[in-house]
Amino acid sequence: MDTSQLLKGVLDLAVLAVLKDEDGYGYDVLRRLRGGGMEEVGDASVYGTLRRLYRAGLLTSYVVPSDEGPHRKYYGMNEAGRERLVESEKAWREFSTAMDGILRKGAAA
Amino acid sequence: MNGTDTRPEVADYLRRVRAALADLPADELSEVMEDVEPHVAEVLDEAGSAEELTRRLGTPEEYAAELRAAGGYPAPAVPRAEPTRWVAARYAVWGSALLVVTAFISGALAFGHESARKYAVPVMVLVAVAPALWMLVGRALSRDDIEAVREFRWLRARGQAIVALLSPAVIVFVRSLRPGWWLLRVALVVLAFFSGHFEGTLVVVLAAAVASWAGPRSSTDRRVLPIAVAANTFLAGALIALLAVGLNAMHSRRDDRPVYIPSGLSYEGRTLSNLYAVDPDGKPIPDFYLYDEAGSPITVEQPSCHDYDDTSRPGNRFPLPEIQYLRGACVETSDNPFVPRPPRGSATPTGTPAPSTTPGTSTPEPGTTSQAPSATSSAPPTTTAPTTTLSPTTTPPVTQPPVTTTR
Repeated sequence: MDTSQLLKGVLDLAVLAVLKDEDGYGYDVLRRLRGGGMEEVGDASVYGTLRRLYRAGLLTSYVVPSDEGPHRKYYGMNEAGRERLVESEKAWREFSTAMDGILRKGAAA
Repeated sequence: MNGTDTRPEVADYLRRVRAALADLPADELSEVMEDVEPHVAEVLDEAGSAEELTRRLGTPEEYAAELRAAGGYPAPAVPRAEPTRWVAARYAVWGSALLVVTAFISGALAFGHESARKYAVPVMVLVAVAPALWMLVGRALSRDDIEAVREFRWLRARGQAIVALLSPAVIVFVRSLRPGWWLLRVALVVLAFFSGHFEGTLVVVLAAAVASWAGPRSSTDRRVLPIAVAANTFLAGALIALLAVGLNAMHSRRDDRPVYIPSGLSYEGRTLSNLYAVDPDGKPIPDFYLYDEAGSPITVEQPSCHDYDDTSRPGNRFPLPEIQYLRGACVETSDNPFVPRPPRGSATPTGTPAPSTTPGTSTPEPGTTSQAPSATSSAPPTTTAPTTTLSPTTTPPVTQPPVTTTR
């Protein structure tokens, strides 16, 4: 089934989560998401999300020169980003629990 | 930029993405392209061909649309937006220029002539509406849009040229006065108050308030700048008008202005529009001059077909010419509008020899009664001869050319 609609709502949280421990450039983030099981995520969606989070002041960025190919722009989390991640994670867990309960009840009925 | 991928597939893909996102702010677009460039290069490395690249990422346009949606950027600008922006920028420039000019004029009128003052207030209201409209339009405008208007660049260049004419010392001096401008505004309000013009004072107070509000704000919000300039220009106009009014008042108090005598004479409370005189024979005196007991001429305004003062005609010369309009043309006549009755005492002895009824200067041969009393052309009633003198036979129509002096 098409999970892109589901992905949309959680992509912010997912991007923040994969940048939590290590900075990364766009393709790093994409690979981490895919590696985490988000196969369906669109490339351009990830880049767009990175820019949006950056504009919201949740990420920092810096350019690293590369020997072969274009420069890579790395994104990292700042304090605001970390706070947002904690909040979003909490909200997600509550939502997920509630959703589980609903699904279970629905299945039992 | 070293390290830029030069492969045509990458360059082509990137070019199309950039074109699809061209409406984004330039800074943001270059940031986005910094991300997208290594991405596309890297994917092409893995994909190996442009077809595979497109299969994985979608067309450049699709890629751009997806990025736009995820990035929370506004929908692509409709092509119509450009002309609208152009019109808005032009409106802002022209509106502001017009605003400043009308502000100055209405400022000068606020203390001017009564009839002018009546218009000053509505004009000021209009002037207040224009910037309000502009504020709405201006929200969408950037400084670049305004810079793009050719008239703005022209006006700015002219303004700078004028400022350049002043010596730098003057500019420094005027700048140093800036903190004291509010004091000038207060002084102006006080001056306006003492001038006794209520509406003018009210508008000056309003303009001073606007200037004080907009002035400091204009350094951070350029949209307020025209309002600040207009309000100050209005005050400058008002100041000039007030000074002019003040000088004029002082001037007219100092020297005695000639007292204006309303034209016309009065007799027993009745206004006389003209005076006529006849000699003892009842013959009209075509020209006479009036003096008072001190020998001063009794002058009245002489009616004339000319707009300018006809100095050739003395003010005390009577009878005054009558102004008539015949077929749209102005004609001056000096006929007697009536046939004077000869003064009693002088008419009886002479008896039958008819006094000429002609008011003209030509001598009408008093004795010949057969001659019809010539009537004036303009006044038919005068054909009725004076009752005292003429026999009924004299009533026939005019046979003589009317004697009319026309000036």
